[in-house]
Amino acid sequence: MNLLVAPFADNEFMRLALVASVLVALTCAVAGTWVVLRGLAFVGDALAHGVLPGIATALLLGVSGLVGAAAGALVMMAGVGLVTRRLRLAGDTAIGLLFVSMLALGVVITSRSESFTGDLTRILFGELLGATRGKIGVQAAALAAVTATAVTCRRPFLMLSVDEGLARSAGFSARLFHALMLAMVAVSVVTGFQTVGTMLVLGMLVAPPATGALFARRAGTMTAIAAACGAASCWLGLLLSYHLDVAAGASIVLVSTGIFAVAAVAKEVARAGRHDDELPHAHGTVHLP
Amino acid sequence: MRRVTRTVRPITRLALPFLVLALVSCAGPGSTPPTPAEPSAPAGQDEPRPTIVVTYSVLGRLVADLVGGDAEVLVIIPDGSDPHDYQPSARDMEAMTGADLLVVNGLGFEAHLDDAINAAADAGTPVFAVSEHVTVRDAVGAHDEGHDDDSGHGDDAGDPHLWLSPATMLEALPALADAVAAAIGTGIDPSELGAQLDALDADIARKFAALDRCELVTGHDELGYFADRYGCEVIGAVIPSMSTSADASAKQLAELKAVIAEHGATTVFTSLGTPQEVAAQIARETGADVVELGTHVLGGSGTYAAFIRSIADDILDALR
Amino acid sequence: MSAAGTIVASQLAVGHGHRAVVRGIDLDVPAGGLLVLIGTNGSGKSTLLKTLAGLLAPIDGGVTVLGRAPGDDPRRTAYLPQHPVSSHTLPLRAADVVAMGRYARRGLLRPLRQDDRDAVADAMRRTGADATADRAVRDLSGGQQQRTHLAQVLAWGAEVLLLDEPTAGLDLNGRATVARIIDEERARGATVVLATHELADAERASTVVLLAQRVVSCGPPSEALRDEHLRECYGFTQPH
Repeated sequence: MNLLVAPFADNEFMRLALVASVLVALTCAVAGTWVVLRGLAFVGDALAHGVLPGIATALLLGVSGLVGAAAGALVMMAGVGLVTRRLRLAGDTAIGLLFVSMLALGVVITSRSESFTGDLTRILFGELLGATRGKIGVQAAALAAVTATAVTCRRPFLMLSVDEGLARSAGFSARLFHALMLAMVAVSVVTGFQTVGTMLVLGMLVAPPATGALFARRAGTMTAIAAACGAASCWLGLLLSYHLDVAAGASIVLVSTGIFAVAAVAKEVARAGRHDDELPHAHGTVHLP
Repeated sequence: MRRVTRTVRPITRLALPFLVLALVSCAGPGSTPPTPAEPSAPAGQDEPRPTIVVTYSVLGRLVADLVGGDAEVLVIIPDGSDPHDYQPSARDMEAMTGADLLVVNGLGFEAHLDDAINAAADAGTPVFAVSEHVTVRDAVGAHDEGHDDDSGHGDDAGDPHLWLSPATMLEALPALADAVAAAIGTGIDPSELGAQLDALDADIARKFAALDRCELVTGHDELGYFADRYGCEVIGAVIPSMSTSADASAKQLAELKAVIAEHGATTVFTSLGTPQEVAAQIARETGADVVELGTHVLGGSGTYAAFIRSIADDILDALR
Repeated sequence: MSAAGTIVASQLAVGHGHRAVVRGIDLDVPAGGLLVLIGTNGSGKSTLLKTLAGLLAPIDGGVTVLGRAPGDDPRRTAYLPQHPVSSHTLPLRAADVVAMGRYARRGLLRPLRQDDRDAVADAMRRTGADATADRAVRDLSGGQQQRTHLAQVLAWGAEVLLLDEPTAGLDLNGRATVARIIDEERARGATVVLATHELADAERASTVVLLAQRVVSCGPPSEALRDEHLRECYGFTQPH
């Protein structure tokens, strides 16, 4: 028992890291539910890289990285919208284009800087063990905003996850609610980067909700499972970092993807056990129109 | 363009994204061009002077101190950039292959320049590695015995932070002067600079000898040569690694706190690449102060001696 | 233009952006009518259906649905998209997907009431989707998924039903169910628009529009589906 609790009791940095990372996990569980339901993982990926030049510029100008990240995310989202609408390219092509250019821009900006490159690691992988009360406050506000959005917009979000035309035919503006969904993802990435870094926040956005999607049949249940898995990953990841002497942020993400893998295997095994008494068509021949 | 291949790095440093960054950065035009180590050197003189290219700014300063106006000294890694992370640009490659002499630190310090250095050597540029002409100390610090050194300076086990002890630089000085002389065709007399470094060394040694004890907590494991020379002990580091690129682990931080408490250390010395908020948190929890040292940044120091003196003074101020 | 028609179009041109797919569409479908849009892939039938649903703006000409611009009253017009690709990965419970049919009525936040739940249960019973109500959509067969989506449109309780290939992926039983449901909906006064590949679906139509990136023919089935029109449309005739 001491092994599981004592590290947090003895060290304030562990407590702060736990609170900060659990808040990130909860924010990502709420936003990530829709990332998985609507298939936005690639957008999340793009945002995670898109914020890089923003953060780099902000740090060069001496502004908060948070402001820069938000600006980078806005540019990324506006760019994706513009390219898909004006040039009629598929969304993933637009995202691919912008994602590499934003990443390259981020690297170019950091390489021009004379006092910066050491921080690149911190941007990509975060500074979890240096969590501060200020960062925790920002993350709590982000969690509140994302949760309020998800609760308010549950119906249009659900319909968007089935079909965009369906949502529009029910009188919901697809553009508005899609933008709100992207904004939730952006807020998660922008605030989460401070704690777990831009690379790892994507893992928190996808792995726990994907675990939820294995078992849940409702968005709310998915979020709840994701939140539980995410929070457990934070606690276990920090303990791994404490006892095994490994990097903290990466441990958390590895635990969360590990939970997904174990859950997926468990589900397959359970399904194989049931298989005998099911009809052959039960798993679905797929008919495309 | 030549595609730079890299060796796989330890998992704590998650190499893949850096590989992406490295390739992008190599292809991009954005890197800073090599900068003259002597800002006052008149640009575009009538007669082209021989060129000595140095990877690292502090070494560049020392070489410039040595050659005076006899050669143009260019530095690849912009001062203030983290040498552990620096990626060369195409212009850097051109400068290195076109140099009359290439001076490098060695021991994997310029981790991402190694391929470029090898390419320059293959192209016929004489390469002088400072680490081959000094007594290299072991990379394992007193505090991290018992766990493997996975700090990223892979094949070479030695501590690369040579420049932080003037005595170590003094060791390499005659060989460096010979190499410079051979490359630029002019005789170089190292005795004046040698005497200066000697005096500097004696002065710092005297000041540190006056301390009751000298126990250092550092950003990463950078002060080994300095500590060995002046009777100090590095008791811990925020990132106990020879490189800044490693990530902090909770275990190391908890151990660091214990060490700070046990030794009653009052200062955490950070440097370029130290995660500032992690250092601040450890300081808060142990009641220590944070003092930033310019161990990796030449800054406005007029000479190598001034650079070393300011680091020594900062440490002395904090410990007294 | 007849004031009585539920769906009225005159010289309507439909398409994406500024690019017209079909021009010169004239329609006048009365309440309780069945309009069948028939044609090959890319012929413009889905485009016309989306225009009637208000998802695409008309490029030229005039069109009204229930006397108003398409899409103006989401509660009275239900739309069944072509079998959504999302179905194969959607972890949502089938009954909850059917309940989405009530969202147009209840809007963003008003809670679903007993009559909403009744409408959902009734719709699922009519399509046979009730057998799989508790399972996730992704775990259903293609036919079961289609029955679920169809139930959602019925739950809407709309006056105009716009159905894009509702029989796709359905076996003979399923097709019979769809035909029965269309009859029932018409009997209660609803107007149905059906986009399909199947000539058989067109037999009970009040109006058929045969499309091949233009209006090949338009009128009652006996006229619109004459052999010369079908040959013009498909390049060959099909026994029916």
